[in-house]
Amino acid sequence: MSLQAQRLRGLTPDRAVRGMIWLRQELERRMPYLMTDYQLKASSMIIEAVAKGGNIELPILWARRVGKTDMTALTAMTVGIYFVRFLRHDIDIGFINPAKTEQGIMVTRDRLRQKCIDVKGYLEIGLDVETLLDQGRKTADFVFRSSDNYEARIRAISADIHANEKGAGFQLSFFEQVEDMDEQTMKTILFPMAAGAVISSCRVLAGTPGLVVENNYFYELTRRLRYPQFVDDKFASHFRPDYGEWVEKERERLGEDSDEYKTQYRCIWVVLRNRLIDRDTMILLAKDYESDQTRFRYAGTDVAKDVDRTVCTVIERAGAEHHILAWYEAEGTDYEEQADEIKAFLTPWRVQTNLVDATGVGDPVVDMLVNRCRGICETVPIKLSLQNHDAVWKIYEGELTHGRLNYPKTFTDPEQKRRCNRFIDEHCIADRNVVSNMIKVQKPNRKDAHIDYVISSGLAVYAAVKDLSLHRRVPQVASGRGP
Amino acid sequence: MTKVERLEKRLEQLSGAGNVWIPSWLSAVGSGEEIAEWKAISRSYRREDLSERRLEFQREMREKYPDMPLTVEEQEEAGVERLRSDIAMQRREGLIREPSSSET
Repeated sequence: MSLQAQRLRGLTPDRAVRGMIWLRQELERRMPYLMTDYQLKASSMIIEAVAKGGNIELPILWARRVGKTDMTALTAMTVGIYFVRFLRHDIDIGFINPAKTEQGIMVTRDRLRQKCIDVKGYLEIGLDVETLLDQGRKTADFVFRSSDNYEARIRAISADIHANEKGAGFQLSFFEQVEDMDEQTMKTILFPMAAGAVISSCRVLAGTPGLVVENNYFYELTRRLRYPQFVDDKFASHFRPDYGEWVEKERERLGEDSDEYKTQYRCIWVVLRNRLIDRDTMILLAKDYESDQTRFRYAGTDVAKDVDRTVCTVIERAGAEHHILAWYEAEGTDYEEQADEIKAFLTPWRVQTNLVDATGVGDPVVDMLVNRCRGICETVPIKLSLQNHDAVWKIYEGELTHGRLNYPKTFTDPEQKRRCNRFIDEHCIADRNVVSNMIKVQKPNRKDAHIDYVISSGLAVYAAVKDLSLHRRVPQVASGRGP
Repeated sequence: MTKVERLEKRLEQLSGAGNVWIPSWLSAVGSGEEIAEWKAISRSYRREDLSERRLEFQREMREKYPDMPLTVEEQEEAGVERLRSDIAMQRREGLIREPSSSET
């Protein structure tokens, strides 16, 4: 029996679910708003998850204006009131919104407040539950309090990366507009917000596809949902003809094939316009390869700037394809030591050219690499101006999307496997922007995001395609295939 | 009402002791004494103790007045029972999830 079930005052989770649904009916018939089929079903799923307890996640992908907020607000009220009145237990419920300002959060707060006002008489006279509906806009919580002093606290908080909301803990959390939520903040700060006394947390992730994928976790989670977790304009119109009429006008206005209509009403994740590559395509690039010492090899190095990593990638050219052979990675800015290590790393691989990103680190670091690697490989610095960015990323993007760049599938060295995982992760988060008609690949705007592996690999491929070797030499055949 | 009585009433309101919830079933059948007992329970106990004593009081009242209106707990019990026996309602409320006719 789950922890939550033990706390249901001897009730089985099924019994508690039926009790909550009875209460939802009682609340609903006192409101000027009736939930439709998909809202009732989704709400019941959430109620079941809360009664069952444990660590449960419920993704919901609904079209715009089909009633996400109404459903979540009524469900939160039902659960909160049932806990204090019938289960006689405190509960903390959170509404988490990516809004930087209070405006976004206010929508839910106002909806919740309005619903509470609608049923205030029933709550106070019929159920003996007091509602403390924030005296001012800044008040943190909505509270339902029974006269035997059990409290359901409903708190709306911001998921903005600067909000720093680490203190909160919830047994039921509603994540709103998850598509716009910063993935790292969500995973590291918001997900661990299971309530302290009893670790039990049900997370409802509700959103609509965006034009760009800001949150890869939500994107992956919502790609294979079914009704009622997935509700597009067709499902919604089936149950709400008024919605059908309204969305028909939107379809005419936006165009059926427009990305805006497809994402907001059809709930389709369209082309990932702001991503260098999507995870599925990236995974397909994994391929085991037997390296051949007679083939040309190139390296690309992204030198650490401040708190960063230096990454060097070695690739081998095999016809039209490029295969990554190994990665070097070092933390920090001890360039002397790194230059020695890069020399040691590159020596056995016998690369032709090492193309080094010299942007920002200055000539001394490049000179250090040139001197250390003299006789081993040609070290060519490149300053990534907007034009150079465009040249590098156009080639790199082409190689990636046409599957001409592969990375190893199996590893004998666990350290290389770890680096490969970073290589994959960084590619999946890299932002692809177009500035003045030129492509620029950048790290996402958040703490601890890196794309050093992407830059390093991009430079290696650029060197290989452009064949930047100053002295084209046929590689010497040596015994073995390198390390 | 004397000044002292007014002050006592005001004090009662401020402390919350005067705002005891009287359920509709109690005001329908309860005598003055029974209502006073309910108020005394409400003022004397908190949390778990209060809940248990109120339930106990409700049980005694039900035995004494079998025809009194349903308490909130009894309403919930009846609602749960109705839900359990009505398959169409279970389906409508999403307790039985079958593919909807509109699902494609």
